[in-house]
Amino acid sequence: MKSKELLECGGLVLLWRNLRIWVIGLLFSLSQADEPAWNIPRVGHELRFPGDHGSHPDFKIEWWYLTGHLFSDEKRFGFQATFFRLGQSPVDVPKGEAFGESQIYMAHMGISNPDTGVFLHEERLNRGGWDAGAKVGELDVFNGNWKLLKKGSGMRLVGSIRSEADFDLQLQPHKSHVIFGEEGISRKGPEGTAASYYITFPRLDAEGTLSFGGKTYSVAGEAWMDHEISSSQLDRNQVGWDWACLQFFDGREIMGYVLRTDSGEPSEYSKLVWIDPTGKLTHQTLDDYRWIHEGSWESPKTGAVYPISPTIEATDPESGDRRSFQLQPTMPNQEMTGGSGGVSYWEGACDIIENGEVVGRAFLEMTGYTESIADKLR
Amino acid sequence: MSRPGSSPPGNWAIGRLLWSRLIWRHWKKEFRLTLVLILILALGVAVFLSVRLANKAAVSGFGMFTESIAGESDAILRPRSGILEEGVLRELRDLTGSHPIGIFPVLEATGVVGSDEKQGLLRLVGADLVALQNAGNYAEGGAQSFGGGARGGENSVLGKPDRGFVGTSFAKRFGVEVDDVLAIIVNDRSVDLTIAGVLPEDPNRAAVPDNLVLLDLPGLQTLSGHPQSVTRVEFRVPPGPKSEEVKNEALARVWDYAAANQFLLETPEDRKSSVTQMSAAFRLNLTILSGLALLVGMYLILQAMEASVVKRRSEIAILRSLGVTPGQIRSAWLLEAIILGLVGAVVGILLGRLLAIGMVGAIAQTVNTIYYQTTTTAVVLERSEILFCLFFGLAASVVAAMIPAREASMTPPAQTMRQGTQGGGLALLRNRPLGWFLLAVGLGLAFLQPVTMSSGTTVPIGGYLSAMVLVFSASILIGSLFRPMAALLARLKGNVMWSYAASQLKRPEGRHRLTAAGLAVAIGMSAAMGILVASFETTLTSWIHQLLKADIYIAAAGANSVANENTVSEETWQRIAEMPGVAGMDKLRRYTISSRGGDFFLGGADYNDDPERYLQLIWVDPPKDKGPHALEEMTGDRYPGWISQSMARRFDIELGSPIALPTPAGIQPITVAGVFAEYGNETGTLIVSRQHTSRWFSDTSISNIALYAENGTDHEQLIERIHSEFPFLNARTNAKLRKESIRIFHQTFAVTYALEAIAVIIAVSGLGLALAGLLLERRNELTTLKSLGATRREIARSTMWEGSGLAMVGYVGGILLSFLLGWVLIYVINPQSFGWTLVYRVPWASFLLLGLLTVGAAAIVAWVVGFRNAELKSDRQE
Repeated sequence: MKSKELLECGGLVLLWRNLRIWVIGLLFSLSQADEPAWNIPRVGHELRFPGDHGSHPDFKIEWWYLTGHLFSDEKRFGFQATFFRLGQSPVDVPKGEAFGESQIYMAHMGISNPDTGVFLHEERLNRGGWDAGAKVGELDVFNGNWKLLKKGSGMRLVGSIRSEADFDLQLQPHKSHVIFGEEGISRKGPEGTAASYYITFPRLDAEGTLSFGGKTYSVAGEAWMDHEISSSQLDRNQVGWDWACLQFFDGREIMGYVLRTDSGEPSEYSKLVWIDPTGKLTHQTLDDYRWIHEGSWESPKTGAVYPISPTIEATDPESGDRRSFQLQPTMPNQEMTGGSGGVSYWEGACDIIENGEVVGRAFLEMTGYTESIADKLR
Repeated sequence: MSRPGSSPPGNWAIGRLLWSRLIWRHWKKEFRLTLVLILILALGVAVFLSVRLANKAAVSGFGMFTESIAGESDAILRPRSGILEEGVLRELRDLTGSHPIGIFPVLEATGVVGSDEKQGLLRLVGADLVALQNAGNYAEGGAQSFGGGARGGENSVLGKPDRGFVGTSFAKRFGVEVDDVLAIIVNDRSVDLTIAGVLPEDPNRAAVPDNLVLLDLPGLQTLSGHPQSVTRVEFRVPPGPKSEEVKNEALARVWDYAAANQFLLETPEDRKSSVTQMSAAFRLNLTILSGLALLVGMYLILQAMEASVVKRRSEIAILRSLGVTPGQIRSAWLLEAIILGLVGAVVGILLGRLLAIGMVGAIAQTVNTIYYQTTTTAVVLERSEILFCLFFGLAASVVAAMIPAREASMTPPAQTMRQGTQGGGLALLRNRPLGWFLLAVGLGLAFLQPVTMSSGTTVPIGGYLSAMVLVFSASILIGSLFRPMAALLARLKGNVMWSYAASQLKRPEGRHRLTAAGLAVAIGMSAAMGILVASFETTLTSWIHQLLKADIYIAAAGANSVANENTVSEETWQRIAEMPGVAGMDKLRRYTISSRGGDFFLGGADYNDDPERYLQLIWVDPPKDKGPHALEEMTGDRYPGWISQSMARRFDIELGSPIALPTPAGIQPITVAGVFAEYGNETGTLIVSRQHTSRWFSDTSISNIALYAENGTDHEQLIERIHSEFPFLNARTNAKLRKESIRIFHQTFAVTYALEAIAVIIAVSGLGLALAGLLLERRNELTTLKSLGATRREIARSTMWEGSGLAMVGYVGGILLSFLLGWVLIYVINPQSFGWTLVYRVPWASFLLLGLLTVGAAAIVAWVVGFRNAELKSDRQE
């Protein structure tokens, strides 16, 4: 921060900057200290909807993760909106309590404008209570003025980045939600706790308004939403992951990730799932697909080097052919630089290139390139 | 400045001649005199500057405190009275909808460090320490990344009432570091506060005040006994192209919400200025006092410059005969004044800064005691202040040199060294009709109406102008005192040297007049302050005497500051009421109410149920019923209330006026049923029955107890019992409280005492300077006296008599002036700026002491001057 800005913010920043390190540390140390009895995903557990789109405070970690591509005439925008819940104790914030201590809510928003090369993002941290929370039994999550809630047969997403950009979108499922993983749970490691309930809306029709650079646009496009519920996301030796959701023009999707271990080898728990137009899933393991790191972009802020143009090779379950998709980012700088969450990662809009042709759109996420995040998500 | 016709090379040569012969040579010869002159000027500038700087530093603590919590808040929402329920937070978020506005609740409370109450109040600030992480989003440049540095912290601070962060200045002040435990008292209980972290200082940013403890908001809610409450809500609009739109739309909704709920919505600047304006009158008074000190300094500069004209008369005569024009002589004199003024101002600025550092604590203490909580900040010398003081020093020096410069230029070429009847020829000081005219004008000005400032405080401009004109008038009229003084000296039998001294006073020269005037102004101002302080003290003492009828006074810790918000819980006061030996008590709960005209105090009073023994106020406009239950019954649909005189003046209300009192339970209709005298604060107080306030504020705690002991009870023993059961309460006997009140009173005037002393010291040193000049002029006479057999000691003694006589004239004149100035202070300035009516009281004993000290000091200085100058040769050339 420049000295002028420091002066303008007065002492508050002084407090914040010094407290931030302390409090973030506290949050994570709290998560690790004296593990209370958290619930863990169980085989055969039947999720019930729409209730299970809501919050599960008895689990330690939960997120609602939306990414998408929006268009307005010739303009194109990528967006990301994530609501995290980090449980400090496995109970919900009592109703009416303004400053709860059992749940902490973190949220991230990002908008990319490839025309101008501007990527805006904001991160927030709030305790459960008057200014952040998530309803149990119904999709209704909020963090400050950001919110994601059920509206009609779809949902409404309201987000902003400072006073620089904002959006208000209606999201309508193009196809029904799917649940990844065998027997209803998505395993991330050999430990029983390293698993999640992984619910996804692989294709949502998005429509609404978006303001960027002082102009307001009517936008339409497609989005993807993950809702993941767990008490530990990673195994001990896992340092991060590369994840992508691919939406093909032919109506099919892929959700795939590679869990990276401290030895440099991908974890055997890495997965790739094909979703056909009817919502039928085909799970594949590393025997069936490859994630090839290509391209490199060094963050001027964090110094992390991200392989931003990976190639995913996988066997098409429909044709049995070996397909090769390269993810081409719409712009290189789509890094979320930590902020209040303390974790930096790259999360950006891409095109899917196959044999030189654009065959769909994707969102790519790469974590653990600045430091291992295993401890933070266990 | 050259005359038409004179050629440039000639000018240059004359300039050099003037510089070397007239100025430089004199400075070298009279090195010490020049130094004294610079010092006098420097002292005047220093006093003036130091008061300005100290004022700023003392009250800036308030601003700094707000900034260090609010940063660049765009608006602050707070209740007009009491506290906000945290439920408003959700309403505000709903209200602002999807606008990206940051809403930061803050709870504030006060505490006291258990070991030493004199160290003052602690400001306990509760903020949501989790939400504070988002602050970076509201600053240009966006959020900061701390990446891998985000680890550590073994102990949780969230929700904890006993863990807090402090600044480095706090850590230094109380000698604590991380994980240390500090016992603090909040309300009527002690808490062991663990220092969770010390926030490091950064030279680029405002320091965290040395009395601030930052806790997690819910923790402070528990600690302060205000569950589910906040004191204020701050709003921050993040940067971006839409920020104006967000401000306009979201804050407009908050504005409507505030108006509908009787809350106040203001900017931090509004808040800061409304608070600091409360002490504006006090600070203006100090500034004007310091300005008067500079005025005394100007008299002395005039005197000294004038003396140097006499000393250089022969040089001037020679220069004139060489063709130097009067205009050129005058220019040389002014040049000298400019150089002296500049050097004096520079030294004064350095000295002033040092003085300010010494003074700031005393001023802050006064502000804390009677206005609001402030902490001092470093004394900062800004460029504007430096320029202002340079200008001021220069102007004072040039103005003071004007008359001597004119005199110098008028010296005829043929003038030789002789005793000049012109010496110190200030014709103005001989103009007695002008003196009487100014006296009349001065008295007339005192009747002008005061100027009202935006905060409702008034500034008695007429009073200050009156004081200034009276000072000038006294300077002229003082000449009339010389003849009676000489007659008095002549009547006392003495030797020939005595008579010589008396004769000098009988025919006073301009220099005599000027010296006496300078002394009279200094004495007059000091003595007038003495009258004000004595009057104040007498009034206050009798007020306290009448008011303090109870035997024991109890308050929560930190009771010495008006900002104290600590209270005594119902459980505690009930237990005290039931103690053996307790006959009854008056109870008072004090709240701060913010109305459109500014803040005032609301007292919920609950008087002892005894027709004789309850707190009886001193009435300015007495109510019909003054009894202990007079405030309980409503009159029609209105509550009766008693207001203090300062409240009546500030809000322009009187007996029978209606007041719409904002409370958490809505607006309450009050009718003024009585007006009482109060000298404790100038903010204003409204008293209603505690029965009503406890209902309106849902609060049974109280701020103060006045306890009546049963007959025959040992008060000290009762206090011991109270202390042993409630060690954190502040319980004092009647006598101790009186003593404490007077101590606080003197503390309030501490700064003015120092200013007075400086003025008198300057004046007495000026007297020495004047006598030295006089003796120099009289060197021929002295030579004659010595040839007639006068010894050096006899001459010194004669000078001592003359000096003492001169000091007596100045002193008597000053005392007479002080009666007038005292009248202006007590009957004009004080009621107009504070709304306090005082009885006029002259501190005769102090005056006598002041006289003895002044005349004594003058006598010693005069003797020394006489002794040193007795050796001058009559043909000595300057």
